[in-house]
Amino acid sequence: MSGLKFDAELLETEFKELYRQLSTCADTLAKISAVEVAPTQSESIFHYDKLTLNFYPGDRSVSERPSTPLLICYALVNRWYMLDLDAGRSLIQRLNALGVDIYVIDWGYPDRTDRFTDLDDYLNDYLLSCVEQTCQHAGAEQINLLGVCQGGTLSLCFTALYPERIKNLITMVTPVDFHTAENILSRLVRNIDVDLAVNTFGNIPGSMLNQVFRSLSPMKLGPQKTLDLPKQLQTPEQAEAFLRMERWINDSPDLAGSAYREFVQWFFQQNQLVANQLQIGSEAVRLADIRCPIFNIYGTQDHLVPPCASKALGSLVGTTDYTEQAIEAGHIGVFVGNRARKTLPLAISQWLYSRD
Amino acid sequence: MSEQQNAWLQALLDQQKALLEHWSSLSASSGLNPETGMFNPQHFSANIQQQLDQLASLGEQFTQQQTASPHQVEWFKSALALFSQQTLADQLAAWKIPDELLQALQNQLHSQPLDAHFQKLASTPFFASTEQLDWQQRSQRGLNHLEAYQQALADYLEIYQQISEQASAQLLQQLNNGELQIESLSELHRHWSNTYDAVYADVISTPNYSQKHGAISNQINQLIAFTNETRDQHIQALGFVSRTELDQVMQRQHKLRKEVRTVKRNQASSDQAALSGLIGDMQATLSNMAAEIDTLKHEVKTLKAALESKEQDSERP
Repeated sequence: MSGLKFDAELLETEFKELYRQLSTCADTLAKISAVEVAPTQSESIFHYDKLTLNFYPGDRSVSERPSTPLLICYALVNRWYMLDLDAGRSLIQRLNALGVDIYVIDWGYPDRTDRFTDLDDYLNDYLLSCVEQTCQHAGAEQINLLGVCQGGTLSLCFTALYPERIKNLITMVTPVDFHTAENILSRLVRNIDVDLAVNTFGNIPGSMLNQVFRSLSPMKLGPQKTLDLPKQLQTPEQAEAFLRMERWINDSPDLAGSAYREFVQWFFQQNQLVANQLQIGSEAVRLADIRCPIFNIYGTQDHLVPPCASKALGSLVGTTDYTEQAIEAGHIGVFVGNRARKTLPLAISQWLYSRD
Repeated sequence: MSEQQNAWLQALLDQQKALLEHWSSLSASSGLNPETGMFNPQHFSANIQQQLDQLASLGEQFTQQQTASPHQVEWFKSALALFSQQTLADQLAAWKIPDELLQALQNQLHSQPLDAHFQKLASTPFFASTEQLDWQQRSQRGLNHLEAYQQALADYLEIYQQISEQASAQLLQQLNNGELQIESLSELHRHWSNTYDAVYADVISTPNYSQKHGAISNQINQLIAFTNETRDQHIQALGFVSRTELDQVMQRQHKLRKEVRTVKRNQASSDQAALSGLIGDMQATLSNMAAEIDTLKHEVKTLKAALESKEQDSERP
């Protein structure tokens, strides 16, 4: 057992250090009253049921700015402000600074009255209304659409259904092929009786989904996270950054029952989008109908949406203008990671400007 | 263990106690509000206390047995067993029937005194009332669900046991091969976490895991559904609106809403079509008028030229 290199003395030092960190961490947290998220100023331009459409004006002094407005469609899971977590970690703020006018859909918190809200409602009513409102507000005929994660999948469906409305499409960490070998999430839900779950709970509790995400790395996101925490919360800045992220992680709305049922069954279990079998409302959704330029961004270390699940898009769409960008980051790191923060906003704004 | 070692360990444990009390007071004084999805100091304090206790206990064992290598192997195995036990307990917590659900199930299964039922059945074994039969059938279903849940949980636990064993074996082998150099208990825990998660990631990709995971999830949901259904029956019997009835109303509402939306969209598109038609007609009229104006202009021009020529002719001598 030559690998064990500690003795009583080292243990004593280790414990003393652990306690010191724990003590400092407690003092640091005691000074923090609350943490704010979403610092970028916006104007709410449209309310519809639970959703709100927020406008973030771009810097007008930028000469090479896209004139077409950018609508961001976030996932129904978790909240949109991952894109505007704090001033230093805000994709929205950086895109605004590059002159991009942004509209963001805040889906709100579904409640019991949304039990039967389905994907047809989300696409053909909510998202369509947001696109119309964006066009009206911006005085534009078309919009650029940016979809994040599940919001990217919804954006693909929308673009296939309403190609004339979308000038350019950007997908970020978006699952397309749900049956690739590395897709653990898809394997986990493969044998879940979704009808039973929805009939039992009505809307699916957000806390339940959080538990599923945590279960993908049980130690890293469980006991190890607790043990590492004191070391990571030594300064107020570190603590605030951590608390903002915690707030985002735990701020997970319930999912409307019918929409959840359809998404899990049609996409995760049956992979209908790739199999060309998907129908939403009364219309068939065919990726081959998407002919506008597409910019597909994925994380190379994304364990929720593995790269191959996103990259599958390239061979399925009808466009000849397809660009892919790999970011060396995980699912969240694509938005808040150092490398992504430096390169991604510029890449997006330049891609849009060159296709404006 | 020497007296000196005993003393530092005791001192550390005292320090730990004081620290955790400090943490407990933090949850009261801090402005952090766990209700808003923020970090919960009290929850964290309980978790870290458990882990520090675990590490302190391992440290104590190590200092007592550190002299000989065979003892280190034993200590290492017991450390992994402790981590493994902790991991298993954490994993299990997610699949435990919530206490309130268990209570509800018990209430439902015992909603009528068993003794009285058995007495009635004993006295009239072939003629039970419909109510009694319903109750019996419902109880039987409840018990079947519970048994199915227990079986699914046992199967699931077996997988977790295998993951723990595999992770322990891997770590032990790495340490014996000299691939790992561990200089602290925290480092040991980190290696355990990484190895466990790596083995776990391989296992959860298998169809067997997917099946067992599906089974435990579905069985818990069956139990909750059963409890809801029974509760609904009671609520309905009392004359209140049940969850099922409320759902039916909302489903109808949702259908109506969709119809209204379709009508509105059709109306808007027909308005749009009508408007487009009108604009088209107007454009055609305008273009016809423009052509007529051009013709008229041409005619005027011709007339004007003719007039001028006539005037010139008349002016000639």
